[in-house]
Amino acid sequence: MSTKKKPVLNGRYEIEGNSIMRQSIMWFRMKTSILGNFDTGPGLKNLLTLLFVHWFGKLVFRLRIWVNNQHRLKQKVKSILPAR
Amino acid sequence: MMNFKTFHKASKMIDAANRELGDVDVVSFDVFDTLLVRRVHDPDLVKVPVARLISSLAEQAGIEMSWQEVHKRRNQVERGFREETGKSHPDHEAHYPTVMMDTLKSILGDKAGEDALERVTDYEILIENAMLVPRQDIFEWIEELVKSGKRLFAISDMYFPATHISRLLKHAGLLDKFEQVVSSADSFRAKASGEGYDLVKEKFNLDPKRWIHIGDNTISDGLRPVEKGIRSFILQDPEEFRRRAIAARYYFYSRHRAYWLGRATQQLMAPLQAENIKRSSLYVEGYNFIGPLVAMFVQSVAEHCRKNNITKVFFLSREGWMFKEVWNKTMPYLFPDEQLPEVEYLYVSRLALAGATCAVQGLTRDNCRIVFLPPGNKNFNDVCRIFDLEGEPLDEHLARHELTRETTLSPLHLGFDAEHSWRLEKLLKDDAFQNEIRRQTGPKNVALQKYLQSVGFYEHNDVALVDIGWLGTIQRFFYHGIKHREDRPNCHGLLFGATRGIPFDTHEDNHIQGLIFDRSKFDLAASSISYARDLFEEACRAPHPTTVGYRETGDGSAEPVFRDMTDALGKSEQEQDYHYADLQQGILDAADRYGAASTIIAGNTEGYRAWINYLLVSKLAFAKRREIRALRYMHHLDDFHGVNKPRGGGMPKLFHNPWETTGFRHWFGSLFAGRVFRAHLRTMVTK
Repeated sequence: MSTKKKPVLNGRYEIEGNSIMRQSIMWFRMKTSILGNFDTGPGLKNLLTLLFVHWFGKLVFRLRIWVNNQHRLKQKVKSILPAR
Repeated sequence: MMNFKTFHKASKMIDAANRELGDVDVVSFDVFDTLLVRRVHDPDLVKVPVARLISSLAEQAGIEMSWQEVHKRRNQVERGFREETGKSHPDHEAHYPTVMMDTLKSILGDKAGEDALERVTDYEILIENAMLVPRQDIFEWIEELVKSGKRLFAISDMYFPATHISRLLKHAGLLDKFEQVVSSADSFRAKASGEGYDLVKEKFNLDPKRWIHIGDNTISDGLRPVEKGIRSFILQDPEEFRRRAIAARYYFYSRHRAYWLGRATQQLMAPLQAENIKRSSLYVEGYNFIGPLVAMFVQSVAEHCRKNNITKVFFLSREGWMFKEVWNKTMPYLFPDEQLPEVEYLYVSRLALAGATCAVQGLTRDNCRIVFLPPGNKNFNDVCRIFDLEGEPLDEHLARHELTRETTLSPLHLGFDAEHSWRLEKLLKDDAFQNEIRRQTGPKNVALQKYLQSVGFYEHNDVALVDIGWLGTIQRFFYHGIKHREDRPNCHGLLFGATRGIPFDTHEDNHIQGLIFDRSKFDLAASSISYARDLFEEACRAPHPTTVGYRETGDGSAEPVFRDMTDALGKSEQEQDYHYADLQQGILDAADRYGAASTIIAGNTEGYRAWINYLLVSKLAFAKRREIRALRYMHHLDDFHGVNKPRGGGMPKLFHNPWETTGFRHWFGSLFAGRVFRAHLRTMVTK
């Protein structure tokens, strides 16, 4: 038995042992063989979005805060864009 | 003019603030999203279960109003209140007790009183407490600040008054650190306009130059204090934004696809900050896999009882212990209206009931079929062991039908002949034999009746018997032990999984139903539960020995008698308990958080089926090898099974259930999990 300890919620905010990648693999199995009733299933678009947020969200949210705080940059962009 | 400083990490903010602490006497903190982080992305989601409670209170008062209408009414009242406040104050603040009382009066009329308000408030604070977690870095820093003698204040723009916010901070272990908790709801002077800072300054005679404010909002926690001459530090943690955005995605997906309901619930259940420490793999599996399944099962038991007017739930030992623990932890969140049946833990087991079941009807054909189902049972000695019969007085009856106690009666063993089955059939029809059985088992039934009377079993018309499963043998024995009584209640058997190997003798007053899996419902995905049934048994098992019978106490009552645990089997069971301690702790900790998460996300178990099926298929049929190795039990005690070895079944199967094998076959079985699952489905469909 593995003695390595892990947190229940991992660094990507996935519940340990049920990652979004595992769900994606199960989704593929659902589509290609008979596994039983999963209602409408997770949906490919939802899975891809969650894969992106879980795996690349760290960078995206840092960037989002940085952009939000660039008041000068915003003003410059506003001045370039035609007035509505 | 000085400006507020923005930080993206709590530790960096604390370092910067510490550098300025030399000329600072006062540190004030924003409460929500600074001191306490929320599990939910939207704080208004907490209002949904509260609306459900009010709707239920209205129903009890004879008023029909859906929770959606209640929710809308509350928002209308709150909006009206804020508009009114806005006429006399710069901030459009609300005051929870007034808003909630007005809402209750508009729904319940004269029946809305202080009691109703207190009940609703207590519930809302209970849910809020479950959804709020202290931010670890700041929590530790506050302890340092207290030691260094700084004056600390918690200031919040919130509809809760300071008394209510104090309850939240007390639950988080922070209340005693603060000199005062200040809420805009009490004075309608908020941080948003800056008046909240003036209020605190005047009331506590503070010097703005020697004051630092910590918060997350650039206007109310950043710009406004700076305008008042207070230094301000703003924490904008991108990781928190990300976590909340992920929770939001799961929540929104769950509105359109039922599959995500269970996953969204688990996301809200997840531990955060200091709660999320490293745990053993067994704890993690208990928390993320078995815990949610057990909690969903217990919630569906409660729903079933409410729907069918069941007034008492008996959790059958020993797995029922875990179900009862989970029930006690989740019900205050899930059903705050308290329209729930009584609950009781009942000490029973197949062995304890087996004898008592024969006292009225004798030994039946079904009883013998149950005995010879496990491959370890071979002959009449096993029948005697299970039904606690004395063998010698039965020998003459067996001899009349050319049988002995050693005659092989199980087709799985060498020496079996179909003729033996015919002889056994004749024996079971022999009145003298059955009279001897009744004579031997009569006292056991008397003791059982006394025990059942002592726990109030016969005081109800409809009772639920909650057990792990699988054939419903305990309930079968139980019913046959009580069916001669006129005052017997209707027994609704609610099982975690009903595999129904032997047809159950279903009547209106005695039936079983599997809530997570029921073989009669043709649920292929949920049938994965049969991959590792013993896992669920061991995971839910109570930390006390199995019941082997009942003993009369002399005062007209009876008490359970437990198995001696000093032998090798008893010791191995204790070893197993120790091995699964982390797993059970994970399940119990998950139950703590499941109630609040489920009531916010779903409110009932109708939509969880897809997620339950996913969990079972993914974690059992397509389990990873390391998961199987981590979860597999060390010892599984089953007194029902004999010690005889069945004859060999030919060549071992190559594609075998990896939960039941070791070595190469385990490795091969998990490598070709799809092939094994197809074979499993074939068995489910054809047999």
